[in-house]
Amino acid sequence: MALEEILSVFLGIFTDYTLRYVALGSAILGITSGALGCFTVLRKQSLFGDAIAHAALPGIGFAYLFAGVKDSLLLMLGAAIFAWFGGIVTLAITNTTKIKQDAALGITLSVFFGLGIVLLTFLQSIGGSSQGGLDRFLFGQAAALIESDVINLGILAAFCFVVLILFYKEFKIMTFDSSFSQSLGFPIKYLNALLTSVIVVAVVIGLHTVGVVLMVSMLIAPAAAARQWTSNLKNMIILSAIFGGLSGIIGSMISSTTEGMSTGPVIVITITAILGISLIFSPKQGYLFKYLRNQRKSQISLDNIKTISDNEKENHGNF
Amino acid sequence: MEISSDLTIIGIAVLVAANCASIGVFLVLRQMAMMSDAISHAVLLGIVIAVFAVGGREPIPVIVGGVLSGILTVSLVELLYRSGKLKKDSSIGIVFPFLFAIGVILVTQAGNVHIDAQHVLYGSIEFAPFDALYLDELNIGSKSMWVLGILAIANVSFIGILYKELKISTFDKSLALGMGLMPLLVHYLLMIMVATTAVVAFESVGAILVIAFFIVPASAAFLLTDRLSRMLVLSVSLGIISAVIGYLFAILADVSISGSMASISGLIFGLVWVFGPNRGLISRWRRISKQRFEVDLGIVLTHIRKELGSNRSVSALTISNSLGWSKEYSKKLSEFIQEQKFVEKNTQGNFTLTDIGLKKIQNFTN
Repeated sequence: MALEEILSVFLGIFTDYTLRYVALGSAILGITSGALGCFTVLRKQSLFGDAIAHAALPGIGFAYLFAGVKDSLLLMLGAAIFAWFGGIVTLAITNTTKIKQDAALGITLSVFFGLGIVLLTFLQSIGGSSQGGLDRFLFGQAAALIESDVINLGILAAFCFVVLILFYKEFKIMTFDSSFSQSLGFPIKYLNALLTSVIVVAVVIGLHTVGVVLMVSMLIAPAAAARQWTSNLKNMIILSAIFGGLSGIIGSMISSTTEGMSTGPVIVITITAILGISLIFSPKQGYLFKYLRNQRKSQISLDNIKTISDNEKENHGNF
Repeated sequence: MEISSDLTIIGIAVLVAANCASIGVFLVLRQMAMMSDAISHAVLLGIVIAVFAVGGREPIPVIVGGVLSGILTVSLVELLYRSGKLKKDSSIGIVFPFLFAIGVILVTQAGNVHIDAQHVLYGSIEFAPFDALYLDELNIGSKSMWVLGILAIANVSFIGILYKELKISTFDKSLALGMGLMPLLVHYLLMIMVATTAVVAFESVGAILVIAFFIVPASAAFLLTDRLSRMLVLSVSLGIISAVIGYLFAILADVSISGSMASISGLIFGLVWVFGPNRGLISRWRRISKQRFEVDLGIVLTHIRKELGSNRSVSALTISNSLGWSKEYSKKLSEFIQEQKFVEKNTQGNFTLTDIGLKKIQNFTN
């Protein structure tokens, strides 16, 4: 691709009306899921995000079935309710049966997704054209975003960040030392519910741009990439948000150059590439510098052995 | 050979369900449910590349491609979390969306792959009867049916021949290692069987719903029994029941067949979870409240003996006051102990302990 072409796509953000909202919407998603994803990764709940994202699908179907309009706020509300419900079902299965967490997650995500597919195909069979717009929640279609959608997404993201800033200290202590925070008298149960709620909101934002199937990547990959560069939670959240936002913008721009390409897969490949670069090049933990350090270390030990043996030779003459 | 297409679809659904549910038992027990989810997503990439390479959906290249990408997934996940940089669940959640995303882009961007996005998501079991296999121009039935039948034989022999190895390495890995049963080899063989099953099931139910067939009937069976052999039989039976009911529902409501089968298996799991004997939510709740009642009975009888011993009078009201229970609950308990003749009411309405009651207290204190 010529440089000119790349430049024109990039400038399109400022001049092209549609592209501006596409990039803005994807950036909002990336920043929100990047920041909140840090908590899911650090709390070892990475795949919980996968389950609740899949669980959101029937919510979209039901919202459309009962309201009969494609009002984006209503669809998001339905999605949020079902995502929450999916989370509760997963917890209930692990708490009341001998089934382990991974199977509980698998049950929730596949059964809810199956139900969602049933609803979408049902809407298709009764409505004909209606389903065309709902399909995009599977792999995301940022190109379908309009101004009002982006404003809604912005408000939801702002809500997430207000909660995150207000409860930063509580979330932080709860993440790293749950029993300590309990001994401080934090209402763990409510804080957990609050954290889950903001993650649900991030997932719902993601439905538009990445879709339910690949959403999990937007929660995990930016946080995992940021983790390679820093061990400070605040820096990790900021870096993760930047990585997420960047991959949202780059991914949506690349997909906008090709007709009919879903945004979700492109964004996911972008963020995974960022993670790959971080894994290799991060100065402290990256593969590359570790390799170089090991090389240097072994060179130094070789040199040491050589000097010692040389000294021995000098002191004792021939063996 | 004429078989109606309805029967063919049901046959295919039953075979998919049985194949997945039998392997799924080991996935649930070994806590590899999400790993199988990752594999079943990632096989898409291998399938697409295989279709590109040979220019058609021939079963053998497709299966080889799918299995290779399944193995790639498992190795990448293990590489990531063995390096200590990421946790296991994060590694899974990074690897499979990435491979799946590449697969989806290839599918949507390359026109003539004979696979479309819908197929990826929920399969195309309804078209399976039309894809017939010919032997010397003789129609010998649906191609999927044959492939699934061969897979069933492979799965049954895998589980049958390696039953002891699978069982011991599932429940006690170090014992398996000590007995020389090669748990690592068993692990990789199982992963290959999972990938093969996922590829074959992909045709019928798509990449995402496969996990419903792997995990849900096996989990329901896990709640019903503690024996591995029974769990296998139950899991396969529940899988087949979900497939048949799901198919019938899908035809009645005119919705996706695979989605409907997944939903019905979820419904069956829900029923087992709530109503299951011994471990169901209801019997669990009953047992807990029965135990609580037993304990409270002991408390109330010893309380009466203590109060009578220090010459105070006891009635339903004083029980509620001194034990801090609600009036209704104290009344219910008081009525119960009178019915059982543990206590008698005297003329002032106060309780006196009977011989039976004293004996009961003896039982509690021993």
